[in-house]
Amino acid sequence: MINIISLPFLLNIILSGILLGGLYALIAFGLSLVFGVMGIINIAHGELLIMGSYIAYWLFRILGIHPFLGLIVAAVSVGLIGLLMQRFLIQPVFEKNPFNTLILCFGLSIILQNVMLYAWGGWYRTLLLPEFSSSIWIGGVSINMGWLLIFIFSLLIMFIVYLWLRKTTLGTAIRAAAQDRDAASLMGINVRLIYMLTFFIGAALAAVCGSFYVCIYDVHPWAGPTVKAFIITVIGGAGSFSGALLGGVILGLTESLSTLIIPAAYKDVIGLLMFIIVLLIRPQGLFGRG
Amino acid sequence: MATIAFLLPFITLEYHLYVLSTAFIIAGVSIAWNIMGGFCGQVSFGHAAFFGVGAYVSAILSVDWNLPPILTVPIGTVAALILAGAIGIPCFRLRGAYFALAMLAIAEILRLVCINWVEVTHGPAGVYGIPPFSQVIGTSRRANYFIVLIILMVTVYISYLISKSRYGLAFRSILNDELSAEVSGVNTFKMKMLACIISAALTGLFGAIYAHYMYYIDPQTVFGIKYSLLPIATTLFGGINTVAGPLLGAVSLILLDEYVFRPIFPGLHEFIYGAVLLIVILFMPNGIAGSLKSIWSIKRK
Repeated sequence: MINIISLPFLLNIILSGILLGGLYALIAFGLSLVFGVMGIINIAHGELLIMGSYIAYWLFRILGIHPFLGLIVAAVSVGLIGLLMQRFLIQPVFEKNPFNTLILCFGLSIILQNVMLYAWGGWYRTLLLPEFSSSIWIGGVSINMGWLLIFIFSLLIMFIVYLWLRKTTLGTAIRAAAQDRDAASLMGINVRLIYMLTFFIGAALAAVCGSFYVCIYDVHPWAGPTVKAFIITVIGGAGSFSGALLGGVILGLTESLSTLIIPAAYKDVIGLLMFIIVLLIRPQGLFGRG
Repeated sequence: MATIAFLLPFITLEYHLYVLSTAFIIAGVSIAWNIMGGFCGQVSFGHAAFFGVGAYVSAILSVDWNLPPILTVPIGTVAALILAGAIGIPCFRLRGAYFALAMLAIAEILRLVCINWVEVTHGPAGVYGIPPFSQVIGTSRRANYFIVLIILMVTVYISYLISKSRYGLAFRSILNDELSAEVSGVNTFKMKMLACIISAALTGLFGAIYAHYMYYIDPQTVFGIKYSLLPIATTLFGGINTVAGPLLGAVSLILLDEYVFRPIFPGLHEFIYGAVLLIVILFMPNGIAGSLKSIWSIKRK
């Protein structure tokens, strides 16, 4: 229990909650995109993220490439894996019986976990980078440099993807397929290709998150934050990007503030409680279109 | 087949009975899962939560409070039932995936709670010294095999009754098309809750049985992915939405795993079950029993 809560201390907690929220938002963003366009909840999203983590990890360990650069490689490779997954595994099942895609993704997540376990072992891995040991001071509050960079990067990437979806032809095609698959198809949009592209982007985004993730947390094959991403998606509203952003920040803040009251081990319980509360009072989330 | 199962203890080694008993426990959970996932279409990826709750409540009551198994097993079952109600109320007002993932979250969180709440749950070391079902029978594997078998048969019968009943019909209608079911007058929320509660209670029952059969439980095992993944893999393998399917799938898959896969590929269990899940979903979504049913109905024409 806290006896003295000074203002800078509280501000620190709030700030770290917001910074955390930025990363959380990015994690949920990829999931939300795929869900919004295809109606599929990719349970393997967390595992794709962890794969990105491992790629960034090895790029740094072996080649010395900083994760903030390595994320490009991670994004492209995991994106490709996601694309192949979608094309050969998810799409066929989706067309036969959409109900089964959920189970399929669950099976995929198990397989990916075990492949990673087999390839890289179960040891906890993390990267200790100098950026994360330094802080900058703004008005009595210290902000971890690395966290700030991640926050900025995450928001930047989300913004770029958002703009891309709004302004470019391809982006508009994706949005069209999301709104009405058949109408889009009638308009000459190759919906299959669009689905593959969407999944590529979703997986790539997951990998980017993974590259950030490995700088902060311990990564191991079953560390995939699928559930957290899902909870944020529910809080913010499925298929909505401002929802993912707001949901991420809300969860980040709540988790951060909760450390004042409950032991850190129970942090994940907060997310679940929020999830249940949201389902009870506003099931479609903050910005959801159900 | 039932006669074979009953005669086995007299001819086989105790070790094989142990394998079969674990297969039966998994079969029980699979049948329970199928009542909700197969009959009613409400998939859950965290059935380990119910299993673990049944196991832990039963174990703690036996070890710390010295209640006899005849009491702890039903109480464990009820505990799982209560959990199901608590989760179902927010989740079942919505469609599909929410419940599945909520269960995944719950199983994980319960695992963490069990590891951390050491005063009550004995922490990561688990609970040991759980008494067997009856002091009279003691720890004989042969005798306990019968107990598990009998409870499994009862479960199969319950599943059969449900599938033939009015409720089974309601469940199926929800599986086929929830909206149409609602429009036709089925109270989908109530039915989903019912399926969930029955499923959870049975799963909790087998969790409690597991505790009294193994004499030891720990958070990693009973709340682990194994008891969430296996019911799904075996049910799909055997045939979702059938009565015999989960039983068939569980027994065959676990026997295969124990006698064929383990000698050849040690340590790859999870991967194998995941692969089975994948292959079945891709090529044989109705499982073995389902395919047999289709062949049967084609032959009849």
